[in-house]
Amino acid sequence: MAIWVICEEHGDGLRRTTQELAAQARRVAEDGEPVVALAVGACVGRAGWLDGRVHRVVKVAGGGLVPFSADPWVAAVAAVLAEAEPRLVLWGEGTRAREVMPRVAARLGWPAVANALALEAADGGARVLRPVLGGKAYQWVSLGGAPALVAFRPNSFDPEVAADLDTRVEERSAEPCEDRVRVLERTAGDGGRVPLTEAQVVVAGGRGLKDAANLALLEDLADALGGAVGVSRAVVDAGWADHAIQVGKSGKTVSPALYVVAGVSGAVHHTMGMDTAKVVVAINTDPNAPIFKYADYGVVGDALQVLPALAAAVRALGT
Amino acid sequence: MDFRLSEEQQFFRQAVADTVDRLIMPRVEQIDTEDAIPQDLWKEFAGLGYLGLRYPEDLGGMAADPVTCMIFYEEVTRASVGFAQAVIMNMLMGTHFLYRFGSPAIRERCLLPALRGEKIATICFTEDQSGSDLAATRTLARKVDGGWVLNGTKNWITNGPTADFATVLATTGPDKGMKGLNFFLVERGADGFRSGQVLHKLGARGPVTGELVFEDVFVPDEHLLGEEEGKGVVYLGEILDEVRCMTGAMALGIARTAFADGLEYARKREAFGRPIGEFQLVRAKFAEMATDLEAARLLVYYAAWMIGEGLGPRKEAAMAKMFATEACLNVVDEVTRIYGGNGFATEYGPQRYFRDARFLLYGGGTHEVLKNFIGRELVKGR
Amino acid sequence: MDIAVLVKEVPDLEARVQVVQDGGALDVENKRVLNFFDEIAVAAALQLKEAGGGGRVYAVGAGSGLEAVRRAIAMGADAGFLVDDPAVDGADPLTVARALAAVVRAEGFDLVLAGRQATDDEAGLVGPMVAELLGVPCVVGVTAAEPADGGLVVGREVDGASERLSVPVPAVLTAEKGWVEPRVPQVMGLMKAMKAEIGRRTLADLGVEPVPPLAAAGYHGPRSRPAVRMVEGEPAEAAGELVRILRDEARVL
Repeated sequence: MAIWVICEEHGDGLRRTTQELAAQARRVAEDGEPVVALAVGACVGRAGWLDGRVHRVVKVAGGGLVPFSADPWVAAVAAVLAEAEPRLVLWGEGTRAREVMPRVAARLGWPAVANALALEAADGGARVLRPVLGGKAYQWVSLGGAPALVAFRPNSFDPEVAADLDTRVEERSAEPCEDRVRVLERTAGDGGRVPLTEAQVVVAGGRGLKDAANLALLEDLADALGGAVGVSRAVVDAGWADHAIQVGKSGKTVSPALYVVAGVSGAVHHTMGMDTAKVVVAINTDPNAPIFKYADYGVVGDALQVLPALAAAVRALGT
Repeated sequence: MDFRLSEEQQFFRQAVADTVDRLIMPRVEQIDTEDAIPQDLWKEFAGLGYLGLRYPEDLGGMAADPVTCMIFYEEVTRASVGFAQAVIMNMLMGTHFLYRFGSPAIRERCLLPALRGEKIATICFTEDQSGSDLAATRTLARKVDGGWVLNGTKNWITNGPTADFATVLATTGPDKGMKGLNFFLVERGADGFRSGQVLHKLGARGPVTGELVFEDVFVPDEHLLGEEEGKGVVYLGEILDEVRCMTGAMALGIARTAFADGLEYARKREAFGRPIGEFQLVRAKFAEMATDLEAARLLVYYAAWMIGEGLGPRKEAAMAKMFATEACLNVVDEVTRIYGGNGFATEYGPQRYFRDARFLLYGGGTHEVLKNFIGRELVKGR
Repeated sequence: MDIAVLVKEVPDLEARVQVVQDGGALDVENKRVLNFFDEIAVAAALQLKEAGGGGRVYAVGAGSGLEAVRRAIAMGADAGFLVDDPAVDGADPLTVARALAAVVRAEGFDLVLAGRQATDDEAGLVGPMVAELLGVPCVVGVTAAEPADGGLVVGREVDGASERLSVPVPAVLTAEKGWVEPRVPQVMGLMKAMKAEIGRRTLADLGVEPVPPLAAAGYHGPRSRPAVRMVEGEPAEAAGELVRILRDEARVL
């Protein structure tokens, strides 16, 4: 038995979430149980970080795997896992986990859990924690001893792990696979910024910002903190921002180390997208706003004044 | 004996509740503050087709049974009494006599547009000197060649100033008493028909309520709504049970919202270091309110079921209206107390429920009149 | 084009949730709705049906999803099916996917739509699983689709980029917010839904053997944050103090 980690690339290296998963796999592995990283497609040439940190790296190259596309990925990942008989396969939440993991699960007949937050060793297997009903409760799920696939939210684990292993690398090539979906057009993504769901710091705003132009205040503070920008549903509904950066029920779920939220009242539609953030700072003019119940620190005041003041204070810290 | 709603009725309740939550709930404070029905909301809601609920399918209706209708009245009122009042006027009293007695031309010109929400309907009973005492109606309909000429002033008319047509109770002879009463259709634009003073209300705000004035208004013969002259009160009697149940259902709607808010507040609001819902005297309030509400619900839906079965629940419908309204008044009162000072603050809902609930005391019979009626029925052994 | 829409009934987000029996179970207020994203899928299916010149839209639910199926019919779907089997509630997603796939396969389809995820578990597993079981391609998080050359051109936003994809049919698409704005049903739709005969199938009817679900090993409530600490002062003053706290005490800067 072994714990497998499905790798994803970011920039010239690996996605931070991949590193978190590998580190956590090492922590929960049983005595003598190897941690294996599966590097498919674009990860093949970016897997350097894994050296010394996992027992084995399986690299799969082949046609159709770069850029990412679901059909060839499903085929490649399922083929490797089918013969590997892992105990656990760990994925990072995101488009790939969403497109590939359930299909691999269905193909192999293995159980899958998505949106998990914690992984612990437990008697007779492992257990994972996941939110239910928008974070109104959390459920531990026992995985037992049979193979299981689990996708974890970014920022669930500490990525630090000693590079003290003698890593064995295996290279394979994928069987050719027909890709039934064809990309007609793909606009370049927002390359510079950290993706919202992975950011360590998120600065979010709501209708309390009063005007679309004031979203620049979020951007500015996010720049100062090296984080990403999120917004509430009301802001998206008002047409001030794109749905891609909406946090909450109908948007993204984030778990950053720091979540700064300004001008958001704190309805469950929003809080279910941010309640697992480690430290929450809320800014609101209404001292009774429900958002303060979800916050560690609060400032009663106008977001339009407090946000720039915060950005200035953060910048002063750096100098 | 089966007290459950049918699977279909349950589905209907859920669907209406969802529609109400999405469309009306966000506008409730606006309706109350502006004392007006937002036209976009009226259009959107009427466009869904609910206004024909109790009418046959060939009129674009749903031919819904009375229980299903009560579900609808209750759910809409749960959001806004004012909006519900406007909606129900077009669904029931404002159109009923046109449906029963209107010529094909009248149906085409008034009833169908009203069921689509394109025309606003109303009914006129009350006058300065007559309310419960219909026989005191002064508005006079005088027979002339080819029709009738109406003279008089009606007061407390829901939708009065905005109505496109009105069903008007008038007497064809003050000496005939109840037997002189008839319903007449008067359309906006008729010579001599105008709106008078607008009334400002404590609650149930939304639809404009006010006077309608008739000065030598001529209406053709077919505007006398009835198979024969002098039967107005009989026709009214045939729909009274439904109207009373409907008022009871509205009471359930207001009470449910108030109760739910009170419960939520009692769970969250803390005093002496714990949620006030943990105090026995507060719990007692909930126990009493819930018991009252449950009894009211059973009475309203039982009477509605009797109507559907053709059992003519004269006294049960009166009991339902009276009991549900009293239960509602009690609930809204207790909820303002549970809210403490906040029950007196306009930022919170309870003061609105408190104001709105009182509206239900008057329509469908005052409780003094209803008790008299119920008592009479009992003594007569009916 | 015949379109199957997979629908799930979920607790309303406003429903009260309590952990009971010492973390052994959840008590959820019985306030249920059609999943937010499934509602978008239904609306999208109806729009595609119109654009594609007809065909049939049918909803398929499982377990306690009867109202969700009826809701889809009220919105305009032509028919509805329910996997009506006590073994479905609380079943493994794979069991549910196998059952739904079996219904869809038996009824015939050119396209299967589902919500991007259900708001109760936010997992998004069943839609792509159904695609795999049916042997058709799958695109998740779709915000636009129109018929083209016998297939579909599909749009979506992925990691800050927007994509236009050519997808052959049959296929499975999962719906993201922004595709179609669902409308509340007309009363005529409700009447149709109330009277509609819902085709009920058991797992045995469908030849699906349930897989044992993963065991729930306890619940707990949301992490209770300590009471919020208010930072007082004028904006500049409060900001300075806040940054100090975040650096020295919370250690997140």
